[in-house]
Amino acid sequence: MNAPVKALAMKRRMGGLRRWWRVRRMLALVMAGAGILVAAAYLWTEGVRARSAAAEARAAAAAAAAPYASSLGHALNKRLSLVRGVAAFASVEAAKGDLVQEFVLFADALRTSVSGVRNISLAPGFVVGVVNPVIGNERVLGNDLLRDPRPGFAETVRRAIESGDVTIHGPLPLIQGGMGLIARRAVFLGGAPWGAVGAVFDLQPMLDEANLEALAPRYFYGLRRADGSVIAGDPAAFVVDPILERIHVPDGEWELAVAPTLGWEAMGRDHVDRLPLAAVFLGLGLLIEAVIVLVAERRAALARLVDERTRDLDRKAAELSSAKGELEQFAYVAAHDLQEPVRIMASYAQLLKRHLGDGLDEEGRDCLNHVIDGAARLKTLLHDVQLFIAEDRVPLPTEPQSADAALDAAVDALERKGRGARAAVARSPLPAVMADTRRLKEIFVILIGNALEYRHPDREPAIRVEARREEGFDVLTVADNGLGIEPRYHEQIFQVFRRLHRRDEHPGTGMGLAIARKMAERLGGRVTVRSEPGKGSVFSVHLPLPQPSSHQGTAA
Amino acid sequence: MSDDQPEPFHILLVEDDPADAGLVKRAIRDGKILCAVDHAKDGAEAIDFLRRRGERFADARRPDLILLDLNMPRLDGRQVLQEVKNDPDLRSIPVVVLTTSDIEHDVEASYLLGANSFVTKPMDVQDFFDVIRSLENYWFNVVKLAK
Repeated sequence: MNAPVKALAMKRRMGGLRRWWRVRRMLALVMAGAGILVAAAYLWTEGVRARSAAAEARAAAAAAAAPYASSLGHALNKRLSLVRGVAAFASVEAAKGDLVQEFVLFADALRTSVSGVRNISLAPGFVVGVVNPVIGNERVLGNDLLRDPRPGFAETVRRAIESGDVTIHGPLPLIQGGMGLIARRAVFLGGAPWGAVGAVFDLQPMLDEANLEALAPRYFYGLRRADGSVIAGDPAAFVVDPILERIHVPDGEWELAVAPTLGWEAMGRDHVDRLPLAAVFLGLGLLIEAVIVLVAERRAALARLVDERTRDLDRKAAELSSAKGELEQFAYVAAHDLQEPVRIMASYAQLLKRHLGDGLDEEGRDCLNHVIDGAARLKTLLHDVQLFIAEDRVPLPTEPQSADAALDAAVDALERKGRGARAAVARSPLPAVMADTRRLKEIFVILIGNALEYRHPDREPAIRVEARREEGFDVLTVADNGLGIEPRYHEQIFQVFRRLHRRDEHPGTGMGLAIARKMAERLGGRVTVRSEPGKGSVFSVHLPLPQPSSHQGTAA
Repeated sequence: MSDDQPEPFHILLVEDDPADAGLVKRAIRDGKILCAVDHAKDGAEAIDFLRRRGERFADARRPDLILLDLNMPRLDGRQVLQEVKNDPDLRSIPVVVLTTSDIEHDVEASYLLGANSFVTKPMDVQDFFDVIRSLENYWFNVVKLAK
């Protein structure tokens, strides 16, 4: 990878990283915003829900309380009606004169129709004269009602006289013991007060009849008079914002307070408890957040890792490239510099042979010849290696050059080596191609040299060099009638130092076709082979067509 | 060309390798033309010789031809060539570069723009001698004509 490309890749990576951080920051903002929104929405709905839950709870409590109040009113009125009945009876019987006897019978019947009646009394002249039952109520007989010292007692009697209707007193501690309610009604005879009737009721049976205890355990209650004095239940019920139900009673009203035992809030929660649900949502949110953060961290870590590895790779590639360059430089210099001493050895061996030639015997000349041949082969080998390595360093042609000139040079060079090239090569005119003369000459030397070297033993070598155009390429072909090459070797022959024959059969460095292919590839083309063993081979050199602009130079 | 020409043809051989220098000297000695060879053993010595620097080269002859090896210690052939071709006094002396391999011509082309000719040191002694002799003939005639 070269520097600009690397810089670009780095820039792209950095850009990607920056983008990712931007996305992350945005994601975090969105998450935070969403969190605040959700929290606000939750609080708001919680408020609404709590308010509505409280309203629901109150409505439920009110709905629950109403029947109890009604029952209590009913229980009370039932008893007051009884007193009215007694008063009516008394006024009728008093007029007849046999009141007392009849009253006992009447009261007995009345008393058993309603529970919790302590007594029913008759007070002519407002002094208790008759009481039913007598047992347990002895102490009330003779009680002067208008002079009773108990607070409010006489007052109630006077009110009864004034209103002409039932009045109630109590609940209060009774002479007989326990809490009771005293109801009175004045009896008039001929427009003048005759006396009064009264009844004492136990409070508890009335409450039982109203079934107030059934409010528990969910609710508790309190019952009080309009003046605030508590009649029954828990006074605390009035201070916890209770449901208040009014019960109409003679000369006033009672209030029944009903409140939830555990308070209104508990009542609201109790109704639908959404706290676990909220916790689940919160937990889920946190989990998602955690997963997102984890994934983000992992991605960032991965990006860092990829970055690191890429830098490693780049460094290693640079190291490799530099190592390859050094190795090539070394090989080139070695191949070049080794040729010097080899050439000097060969030259001086030749000088020696020249000066001493006649003085040496057969064996001496043979030895000297081996020195000269070995040096010559080494020089050739080193030359070819240098040629192969130097291929990348030789500049490329900028305009088409004559393939004919290259072929001429190649045939001349081969002819000088006594290979009979001129006689063997038949040629058609070749075009100008995008290959420098030096490279193309080298390619021709290699291909024609091979054709001469690997000639068929039974016939004279015939080599044909031609050119054609084909799909964007100039194709130069060198066809021979030589030994041919088996298909399985068609790729091997282009490899460095790959030889198909022993040296004593055919000399050579094993570099020729590798060089030819490398040169063709460097020129943007290729070298390929078709061959039939025993008949001959055709080597094709593909060279890219000249660009239109480069024609002008050759036309002049 | 004839033997009665009294003034010898002056060649400056710039070559660090004594064996190679020996070959060149032998080839010249075997030639038909009367040549005087001065031998500089590296580039720096060659420049000193050409510029007559130091006591040793005070009387140095101006060569008719420089045979220049490329690879030498200290100042190498490329630098010598550059010095010579950039010097108005020396520029007109023809320079023939001796190379170990023909591949060098192409690889070193950009360095060797000023060279008048290249000679690849051949493998065969006879070839080498022939090349040196042909050089002598060519340049001898050219230079004589120029004079």
